[in-house]
Amino acid sequence: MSPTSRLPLDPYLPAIGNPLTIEYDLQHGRVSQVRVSLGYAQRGIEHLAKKQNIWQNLILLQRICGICPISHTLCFCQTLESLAKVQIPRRAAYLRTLVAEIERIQSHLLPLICLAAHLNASSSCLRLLFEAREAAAAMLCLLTGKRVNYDVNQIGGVRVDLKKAEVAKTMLSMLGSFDRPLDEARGSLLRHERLKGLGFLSSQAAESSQATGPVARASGLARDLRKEGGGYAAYPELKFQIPTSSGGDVLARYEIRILEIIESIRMIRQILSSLPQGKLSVDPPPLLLPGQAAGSVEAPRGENHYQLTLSAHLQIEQIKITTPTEYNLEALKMMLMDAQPEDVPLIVASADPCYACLER
Amino acid sequence: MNVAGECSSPNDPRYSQPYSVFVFNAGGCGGCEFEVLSLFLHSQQSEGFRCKFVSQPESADLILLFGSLNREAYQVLKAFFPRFNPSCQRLAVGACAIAGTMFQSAGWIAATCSGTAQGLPHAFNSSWQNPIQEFSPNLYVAGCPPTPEDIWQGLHRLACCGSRLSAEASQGVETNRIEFHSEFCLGCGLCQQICPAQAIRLSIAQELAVGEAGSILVEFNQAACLFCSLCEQLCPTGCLKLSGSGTLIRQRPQEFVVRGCLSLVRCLNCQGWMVAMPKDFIKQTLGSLPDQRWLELCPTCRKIASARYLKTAAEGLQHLHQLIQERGC
Repeated sequence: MSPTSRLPLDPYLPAIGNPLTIEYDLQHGRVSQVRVSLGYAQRGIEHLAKKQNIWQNLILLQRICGICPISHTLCFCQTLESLAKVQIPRRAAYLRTLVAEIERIQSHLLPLICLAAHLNASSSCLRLLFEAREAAAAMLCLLTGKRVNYDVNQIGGVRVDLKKAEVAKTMLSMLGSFDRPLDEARGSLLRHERLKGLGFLSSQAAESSQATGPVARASGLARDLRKEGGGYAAYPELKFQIPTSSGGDVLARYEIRILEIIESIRMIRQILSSLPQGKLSVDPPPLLLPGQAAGSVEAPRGENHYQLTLSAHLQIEQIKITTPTEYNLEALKMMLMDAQPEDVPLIVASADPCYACLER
Repeated sequence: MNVAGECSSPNDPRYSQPYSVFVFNAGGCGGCEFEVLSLFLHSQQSEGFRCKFVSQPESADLILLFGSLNREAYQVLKAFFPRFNPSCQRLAVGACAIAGTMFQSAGWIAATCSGTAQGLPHAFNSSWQNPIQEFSPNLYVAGCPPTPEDIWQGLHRLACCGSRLSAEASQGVETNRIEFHSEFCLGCGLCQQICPAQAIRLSIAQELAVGEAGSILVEFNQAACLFCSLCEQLCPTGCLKLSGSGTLIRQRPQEFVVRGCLSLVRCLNCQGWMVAMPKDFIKQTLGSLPDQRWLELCPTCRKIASARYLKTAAEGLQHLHQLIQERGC
């Protein structure tokens, strides 16, 4: 039996540049055991949430992740709204969905950019993908006034409005700018033979490891909270599909992300053409009630789950956040089994772990 | 992009080589990472100054630090220190790295560029060396996250001026993103209460002795500000404005602070200190100024005086209805 060698990827993961430690054992030139350790981005957010008031918590929880900030505040608001038993106005639900879908586009473009950089793709391809992500950021900036960490949600509605018809028109025209980068990514980037069959995750393994988001959908599980259980926000009123693939490999995971971007663009078109009139927020402001509640939303990377208890003084007594990357860590370990060491960065990047969501 | 007035030409020999940048990601939310990544596009589109990201700190002209520097991340940064080129420039980016924002009070953040964080266990703190002495950034770019334009301009400024970065070079470039109109401020302190990042502080400027004019100092730390606009939303008089424009690039963290002063006066009746009433605001809201004596009473005395003036509650309500009908509001 050949000796086992232990190799750490630390403190920055290759291909994604995240401060996260992945340590693996090599046996006969193949990965045999994987350990993930955390600690570089720990900020104590759940601890802080118990000290601050509800308004401040909205701003704090948004800073869990700069790539998918609205999924966190949306989940928090929906949980509290279910506790207070309020129905938000339709316009607010549509605006929340609009921001969440633009966010999904820019979040899904990030792993594609990382892949392009890792595979040494042509600079034109990399530039096109970067420009697409800039377009998504510009759309968010038009709508909310900020490119990242846009404080959109409030309990009972939203804080921003799409007042001018020109803004909607500009955003509609900007949606066209995603076509070329996506074609380029499919045409050149995903043609790499290397990606096929790499990091295979069977649907049984995805099921047993509780994989979520694009990772689960690329293994053939049609899991999406936007459809499941009637959906939330404005999703029940929109026409869209949940793309799935039976591939289960690195290639399938990237293809699913591209298909989801196309679905998101379809949804944004529907929202912008049929944005209902009405109030932005519940008037008068909702009366919060103490109690225990849980809620989940479909963040770009998968299921985001909040469980919280509100005390009689309307302070958060207990809060537990479960993020998609946490669900997907077990799946990531399964994918890495028996992989060759040179493929490890690619497989890790295809699962798109987010260090900021993982350790709060 | 004319920063120092001397490096605007694209043919400058300093532009022949791209400026190499080593990015130290100290955790945080990833927002700064996104904005730093988009510098790639700025570099591709620029004709003059360009930059490239390097993976070896030895070969870097500039070390860019962002993120909430917690204990684990600080150990990594410390391990990197001996590998930095001694002549390299250091740039600190983002609210977490410069001021720590709300994460300071959670006790996880080891250090920020403007000082050692609060809330650390004492045993841990005693042997602590403040990284500001070791890392000592040459330039700070604040924001949550900072705009790519600001980071780009900061990089450019450090690349051009280097160690000769003088006060004149940066003068006239800096503008604030927080506007504070002290003539409208009531000094109620709501903004200080709501600020999630503890970036707003109201303090009495000096010990007040009898017969002395005092003032309240209002400080907004733009380095810690998250630009969430909660204070702007809550402010009853609208004396606070967060503008989308403004460059937040400074050489010292203290320079990010926007200050305003509220003068204190004595109440006519009880002689207690109170914030002088914002006459401009009252004039704007009511259309005309009420009797001067009303403005010189503190809120408590004003309530007592108005109760005496109106005698009974029924009379007061009638007066209120009359006022509402007159103004039609």
